[in-house]
Amino acid sequence: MSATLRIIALRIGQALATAAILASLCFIFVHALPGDLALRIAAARVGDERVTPETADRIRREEGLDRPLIVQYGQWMGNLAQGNLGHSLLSGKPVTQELAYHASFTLQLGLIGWLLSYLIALPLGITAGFRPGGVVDRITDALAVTLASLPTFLVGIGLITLFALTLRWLPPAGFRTGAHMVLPALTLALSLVAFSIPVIRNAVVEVRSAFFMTYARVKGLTPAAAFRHHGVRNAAIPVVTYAALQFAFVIDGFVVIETLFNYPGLGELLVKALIARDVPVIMGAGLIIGFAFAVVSLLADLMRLWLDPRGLEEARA
Amino acid sequence: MTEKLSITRRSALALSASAVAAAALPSQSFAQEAGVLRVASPWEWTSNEPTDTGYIMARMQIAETLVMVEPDGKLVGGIAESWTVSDDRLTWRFKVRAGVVFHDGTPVTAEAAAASLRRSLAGESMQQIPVDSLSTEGDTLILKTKTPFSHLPAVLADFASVILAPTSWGADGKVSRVIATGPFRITAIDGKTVLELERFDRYWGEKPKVARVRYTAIPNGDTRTNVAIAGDQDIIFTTVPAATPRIDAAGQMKVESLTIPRVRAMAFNSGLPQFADVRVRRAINMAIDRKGIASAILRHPGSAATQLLPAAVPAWHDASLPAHPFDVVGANALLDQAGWTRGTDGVRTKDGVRLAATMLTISNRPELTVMGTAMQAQFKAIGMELSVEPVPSAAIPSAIQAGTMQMTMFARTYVNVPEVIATIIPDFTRERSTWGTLNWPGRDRVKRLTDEYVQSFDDARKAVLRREILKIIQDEVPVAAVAWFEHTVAINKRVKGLVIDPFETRYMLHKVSLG
Repeated sequence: MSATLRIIALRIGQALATAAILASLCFIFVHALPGDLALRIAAARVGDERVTPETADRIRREEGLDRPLIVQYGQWMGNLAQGNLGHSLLSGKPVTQELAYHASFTLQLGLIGWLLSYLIALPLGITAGFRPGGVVDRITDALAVTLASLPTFLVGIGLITLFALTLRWLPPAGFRTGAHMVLPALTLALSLVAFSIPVIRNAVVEVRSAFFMTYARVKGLTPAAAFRHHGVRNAAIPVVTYAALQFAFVIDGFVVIETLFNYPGLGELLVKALIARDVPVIMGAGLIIGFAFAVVSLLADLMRLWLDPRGLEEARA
Repeated sequence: MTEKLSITRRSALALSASAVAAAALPSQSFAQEAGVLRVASPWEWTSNEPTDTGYIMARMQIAETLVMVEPDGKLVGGIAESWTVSDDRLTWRFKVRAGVVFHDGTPVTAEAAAASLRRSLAGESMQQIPVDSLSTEGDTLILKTKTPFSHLPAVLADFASVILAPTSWGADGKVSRVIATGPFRITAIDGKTVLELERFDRYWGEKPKVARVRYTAIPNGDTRTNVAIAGDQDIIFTTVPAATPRIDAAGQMKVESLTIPRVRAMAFNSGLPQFADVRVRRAINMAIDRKGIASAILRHPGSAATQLLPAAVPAWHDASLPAHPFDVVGANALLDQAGWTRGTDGVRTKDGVRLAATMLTISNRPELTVMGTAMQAQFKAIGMELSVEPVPSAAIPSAIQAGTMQMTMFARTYVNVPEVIATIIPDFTRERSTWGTLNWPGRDRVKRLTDEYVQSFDDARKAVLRREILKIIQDEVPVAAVAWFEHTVAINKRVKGLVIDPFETRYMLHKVSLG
């Protein structure tokens, strides 16, 4: 057990360091972008048409953007050490509050979309893997290729056109009710399914052709029973890793879906923060997303160790 | 051991599946709620500060200014019932209307209004007022200016000067709650996207007919179109003009449009050798097929601009001014006369300078880039080479300030302050304007006229000055309006009584009822 704890401690340490480096890179990149930072912030605050050089100057003074970059960076690191991510230059709200609000929406929709994608992909992938080259395999393959080649916004527009504009079963945009969640979650799920079906199918095909499966069949188990007892766990290992990666990808936000469905998620926040050059929000988001990514991949590793304790034995040794 | 583990895995899965089911359960129907007027526009509630979101507060009629503007452009009393100016034109007295209360029930006093105004005077939009002092006397707010400033009431109608209660500001000097005086008050704010409003029963003026209003910000134009087709809102402001036929055909909402004093204009850096000669600027202006652009790109032939501003602002529209001509032959003759000769590649040159420029357009106004490429083709006919570069909008004032702007096409409203002079001054009288001219020698002449205009209280003289300013701009083409804007509003069939305000200061929701 101490081996597991050691792995966790090491990985959390790595995650924190990675997150801090990521946030610092964000700081460098934002400042390396061309254009006057204060003017961009001013335009985002008062609107494009009302922005004047005077507004930009006032914001530059008020927010201390005229100080040397190294001083600004030092202050950010100092605040970070005290657990303070600062205030948004756009809304004036604490960055933690902004991130928490948008992250709650992204997590909600991301989790639903991600789980929905596996509700679709697992039965299809496993069935396809049982009969490689069969009808189901060929159909799911075509489906996966089609979905993978369609940009997400086209899938979203297609679903909106069908279910919201033609059939009028669901609202075309919004975020406040369960009905509003269906189309964005389905759009997200379909874009994930495109890549998870082949992974599941290949994992199943590979496990079924393994020697231990032949042995299980030889000792008299039906194909289904053999797969249930000996195949599922082995096939789950690559699938779990891949699913965790997809989830980590999802929690960054999904800009296109959020914009199309007017959904206030993290991706939308981050894109707007980038356009407005809202440095504290960009850095805070970089920090949190980097950390969350690391935590999800840690959870995936732990899950894999749980499914396949051989790795743990190696770590103990 | 293995068996026990597998049960844990199964229950973990079952738990996560039920969590999904719980999250997906609809908490309420998406269908329209009785008595709630649903209003959408592109603008997000980015903060509580009047300098930032005052326009949403004013448009949604949450907050009000001392002076207000009617849809016909007439200035009327808002929180100030009436006003007077002293004989020396330096002391303005605004009498605060009796019986006006803030949304928390406290009365609006002259002191409270002055305290709120002091905060907005620090903002840039108010900085043009040559304030000497701001004081109160009983129910009267007294504003003294250092020099006569005839359009002070119009500037006080600017939404940045909405009056909030003293309790709106927190200890940090920021607005923590919006406590204002309008016919609607905020009951809940959901992120940047949704504002829940209710009718304020102690409102001093005409009481709204609807009890509740929900404001939703939908920044993406395609999403607004989808929502309009589905009829999922009652009023959607600023729909995409090209989507009008689709929205109308869906039958849920009807789009109405009105030409407003918002302009898609082209501007030159008049200091560049290729644009310093007024004949060149005129020739380029003559090469623009405005009618073609208005009908093919903007789908609204009436939006082709004949001069800077449309007739929606009668004071600043001179019907006697000759319209911008479209005359390619004349344009070529003018360039020949100015000494620009065509090279082998068809582009004119003079003294080694090519008649070429990069035109900056705003990337989040997609029609500007399309208009730019149309003009690229039209300018080829007169031997000019144009490249079009879409940039974020703030990059344009930035390029003008830096002096690097060669040409630009932007969208600009001239009625942020309902007296156009307040926008003419920063755009046409400075070496480096905010949105518009750069290095234009004519600015000094316009400045003399605007200086006189600001100090003049003689309406007849001001009308003469306005005509002179418009004529100089039309003749010298430092900036040329290409197309005016159509303010498009999608209206649900159940909405009755909506009035569209060309000044966009108020959405006039108090007049709306739901059928």
